[in-house]
Amino acid sequence: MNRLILALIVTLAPTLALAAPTAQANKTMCVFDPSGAHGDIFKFAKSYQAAALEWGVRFDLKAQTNETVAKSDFLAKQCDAVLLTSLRARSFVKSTGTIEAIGAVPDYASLKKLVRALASPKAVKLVTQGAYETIGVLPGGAVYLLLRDRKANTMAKLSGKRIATLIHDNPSRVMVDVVGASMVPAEVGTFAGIFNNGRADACYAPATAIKPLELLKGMSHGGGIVRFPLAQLTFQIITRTADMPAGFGIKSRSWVASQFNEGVKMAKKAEAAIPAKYWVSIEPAAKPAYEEKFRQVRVRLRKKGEYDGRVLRLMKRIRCRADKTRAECADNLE
Amino acid sequence: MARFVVSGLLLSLVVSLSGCSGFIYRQTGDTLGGFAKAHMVPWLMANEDIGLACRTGGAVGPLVRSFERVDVHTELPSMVSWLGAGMCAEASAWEAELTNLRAIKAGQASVAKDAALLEERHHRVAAMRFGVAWGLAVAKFPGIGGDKCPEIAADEEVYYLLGAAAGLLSVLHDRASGGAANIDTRVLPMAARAAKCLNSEKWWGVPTALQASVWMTVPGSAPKGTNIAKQFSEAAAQGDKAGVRLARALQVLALEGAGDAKGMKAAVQAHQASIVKTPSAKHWRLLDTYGRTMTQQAVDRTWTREKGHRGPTGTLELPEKAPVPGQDDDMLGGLDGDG
Repeated sequence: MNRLILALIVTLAPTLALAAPTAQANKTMCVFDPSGAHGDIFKFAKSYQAAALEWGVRFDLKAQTNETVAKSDFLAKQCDAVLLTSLRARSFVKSTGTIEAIGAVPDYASLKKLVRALASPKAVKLVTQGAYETIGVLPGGAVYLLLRDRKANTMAKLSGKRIATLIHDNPSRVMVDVVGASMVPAEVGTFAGIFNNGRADACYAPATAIKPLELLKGMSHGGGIVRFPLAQLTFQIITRTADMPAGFGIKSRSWVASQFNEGVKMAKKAEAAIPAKYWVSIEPAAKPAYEEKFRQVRVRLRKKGEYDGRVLRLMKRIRCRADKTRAECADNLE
Repeated sequence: MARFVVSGLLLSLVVSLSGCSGFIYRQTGDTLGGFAKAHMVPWLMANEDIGLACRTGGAVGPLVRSFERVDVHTELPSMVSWLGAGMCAEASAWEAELTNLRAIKAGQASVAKDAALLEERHHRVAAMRFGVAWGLAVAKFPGIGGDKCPEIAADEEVYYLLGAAAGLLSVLHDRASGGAANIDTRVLPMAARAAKCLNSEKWWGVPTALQASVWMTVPGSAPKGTNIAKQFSEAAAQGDKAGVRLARALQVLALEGAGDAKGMKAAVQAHQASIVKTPSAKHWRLLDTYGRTMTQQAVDRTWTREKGHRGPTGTLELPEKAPVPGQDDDMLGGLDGDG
């Protein structure tokens, strides 16, 4: 009889082990989404939450509509992970914050390459800074220059123009300075009004913001959108490596990178929905001037300690691998 | 002779019937459309059964709207029907959402993912239906959502309000579906402007709450100096007083969305207190119940996240915070002996 029970236990044990739910560590993630828990970023965070169960973590998601609050809650250890824009994430991990460097990633294919490269297990050191680690980079859409007068579509003509600039966005302030334009201080909540009312000649925004904020109004009398991405907005998940199970970051980055196409879908859709008449193409002859200005800004910001030189070099490699004829590929300035 | 007369009559009848079938259809359509507007919609609005309204919308809507093929205008009853049908899809999306949250709580990754995908599909259907309702409002009230307010007959104001609400709902559900219904995001600011054309107090604070919801959804879209929280509070109080608590529900959703747990709790309590104090407005029970259902879903989300199941039936109540273990143990000192 005892043997029978023993045999039963031996037979059933693997089955029972399979049926038992995997033990998960409970963690909290603060999620910045300007639209809160009903927004697209929070929606992505919910997908991430389900995926993370398989890597041994159950996240409780906390929506934050104020990015500063989300960041300070993470600093105060009220959340174990935080999802922020690259603008704010840069203060934790400079390398991944450098992804948004001005003019460094010209298209989504390049961005995908970059995100995949940073998700490689070989890139662990690159995405870690002290106690902090970036455990996911999600595309938020290319940022474009919006003009009230489409004729101001060259670097030279932008000189002297007023550009609505986010006051906490240092790289853009430097860009405005390099171009010779003047800055009209703005916040996320005010820049659309400033542009539409004509208090600025230009502003910058991802395509997803254009229709909901009715930015086409500001371009309705001969304005346009310069079809040349200024930068790539990304959302990044930051955590303290020590607070997560071993190897969590690698699994997380790999999964977030696998969601790239999904992440970029809304941005592409918003870009496609903008009437063709608003797009302003840059003449091929005018492109080098743009690229050179962008590079000057990147180098200046690297010297100021805002950008990480390693990621600038990685992005240059991606650009040059896609197009070897670029002027910058022959030198070694970045 | 008589045979000729009868044959002639029959012939003329057949000719007139075949030639005038369009006329008969139009007559029928006008009657049906008129009846729906005059009686079916008011009857549904006065009835609190959301399930009934949503199924009626899905069943009757296509019949009513099919009369458009013979040039009968049925925009208003059709709009209400599509709104009702949208509510059906919305309810299914909400159920899938709770399944997702339960699975997250239970640590079941694939169940959670599947439920999230199912939720997206229901949101897509809801977005499409609310989108049709918005389109009907645009057809009925040309210029709705523009810079100037269109002319609105007094007895059609409620339809105009429902049209603006449909616009907001279509975009919100489309976003929740991952953009699968392709609703133009310009509808959001249009819905806000449309709502502005109505007297908010007359319509239970809903126009103001709709505008505030759009401003919360699109940061930076509110006019300079707008105090969104204050607008929500005032609108919700108007709805509470009138017994049509849609504005209160929109406030609950906005606070929940902003991650303001404290504010959300106060709004849920206010909603429940108002239900106890003020009965539903007699002619608008459906809308009041819809508001309660929206708040109920927000409450159930919180319960499911925290406890793994939805909240209590028949009352709007958020879960209490777990007591601190041992907090009141000092009261038990000296009580170990026999009683």
